[in-house]
Amino acid sequence: MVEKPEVEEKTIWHKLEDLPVSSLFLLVILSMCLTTLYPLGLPVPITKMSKDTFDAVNTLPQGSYIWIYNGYGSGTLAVHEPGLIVILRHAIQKGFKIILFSDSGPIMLFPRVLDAIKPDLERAKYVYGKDWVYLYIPGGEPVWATVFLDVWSVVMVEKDGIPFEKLPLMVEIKERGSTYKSMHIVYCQTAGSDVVDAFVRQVNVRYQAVTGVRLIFQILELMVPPARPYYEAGNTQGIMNGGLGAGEYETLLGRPGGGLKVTDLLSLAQLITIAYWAVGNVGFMMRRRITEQKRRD
Amino acid sequence: MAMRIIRRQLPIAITFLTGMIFLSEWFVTGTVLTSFTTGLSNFVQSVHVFVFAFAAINLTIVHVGRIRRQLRAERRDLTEMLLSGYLLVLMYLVGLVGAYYGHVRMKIPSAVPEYLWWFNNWELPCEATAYAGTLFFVLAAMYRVFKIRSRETAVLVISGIIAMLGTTPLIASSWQGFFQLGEWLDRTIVTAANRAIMIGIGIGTILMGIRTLLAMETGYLGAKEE
Repeated sequence: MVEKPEVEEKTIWHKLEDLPVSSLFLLVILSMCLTTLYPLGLPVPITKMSKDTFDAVNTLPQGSYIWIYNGYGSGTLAVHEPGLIVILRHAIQKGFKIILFSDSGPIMLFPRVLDAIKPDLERAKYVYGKDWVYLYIPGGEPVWATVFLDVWSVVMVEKDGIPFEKLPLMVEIKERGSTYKSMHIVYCQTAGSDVVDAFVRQVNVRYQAVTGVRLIFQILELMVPPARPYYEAGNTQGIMNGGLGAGEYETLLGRPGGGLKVTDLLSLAQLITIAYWAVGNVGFMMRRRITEQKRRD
Repeated sequence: MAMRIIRRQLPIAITFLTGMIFLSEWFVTGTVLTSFTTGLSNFVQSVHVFVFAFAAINLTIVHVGRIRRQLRAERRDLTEMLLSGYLLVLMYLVGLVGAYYGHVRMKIPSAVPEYLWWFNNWELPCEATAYAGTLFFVLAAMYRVFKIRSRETAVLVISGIIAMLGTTPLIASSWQGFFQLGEWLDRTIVTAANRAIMIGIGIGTILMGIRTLLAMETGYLGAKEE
């Protein structure tokens, strides 16, 4: 006859160890709804990495050329869109010449960004084609390599099909010689680690020693640890740490926006998660202690 | 023999030549090599655009095949397929008609507000929801897995909690300790570990590149014919 295994008596510690995960989901969703409706407006501590990102843009003189690669999709919109808006606001405020470029997806998302920065563009009297331009450049690293060498050899029209000849900014870039000579700072937004490596190779490694071009990123929070060695080694002048980084940048610029909303959401959601983790661990340790004691007895 | 040359030797020769040209162009710019790499980049761009058309045709073929199979089956479940097929066709039409009116008739390049409406109201929320759904997996994993079972897991859990508290504005703004500790962890421990991984990957990539150029690595050609 097979002996039945001893069934462990369910105690309060068992319950604490196995709190229903659905309650955690519900609390996190509720906290997010509440902070969206009633923003806490908490002060955001500024990391050195964010300060360096801000300084990389802020210390450049008026008329510098900023190249912005926005390689994000709808999935990471909440993180990347505030990052793009705040950089564009800063670039407009500084009087930079702006060259945006991307694949087709981000172009579809750009009208939302344009709505947000419209007042800034009007205030600074920015003219499309003269002060800023948006290029559609599909392909990957081999294409970017050629773009930074000579953008005219890769594309001849901007995203809506307007020829470069009709865009004073693109004509100006051509007259200055190789494209990298009109590249003072490159801002890359991406959700792919391979893109970070590619931009370090094609911008920093290739041209920093020649022109002193600066390279900054906005990447997802989970991508920051693998990219950090580039920052510590000076391959990139700064990294915007996802939505949190965008919030810090907004604080530094004094223009609160979507990034600071993300930091508010994080505050409560993370605290709830930590509380659940603590309760679960107390339950786990107490249950284990009782089981061991019983075994010894 | 001729087939072997076409299927194996020729791609290997092309890979070697292209690789060597791109490699040399890195060191010597502004020569005939640059013209070659520029031409090739333009080709890559064209191929990239062509991929979209190929994907759309492929998706249509797959859907039509599946719908036909479902129609023959006893228990039919066409809802999902018809919905995605309908959206696929709808987006084709909206794109084509919109492009015709916007580009050809109104002379406004790529101004297709209808297409943008569908993108903003269908694609955007769906993709954002799918991505946001991962939050629940992460939350559930953290609650279930982050249990202090041994000394090693204790180190993992404690460092994780410090990192989390350091990035929680509510905590970090009231007491800087966790924030500074989190920064130290990031700058010292995490960077050191990642640097080692990156160096390993870098060396591996170089070796892989050399092996590919020297035809010692031919995995990209598919299975070897005996």
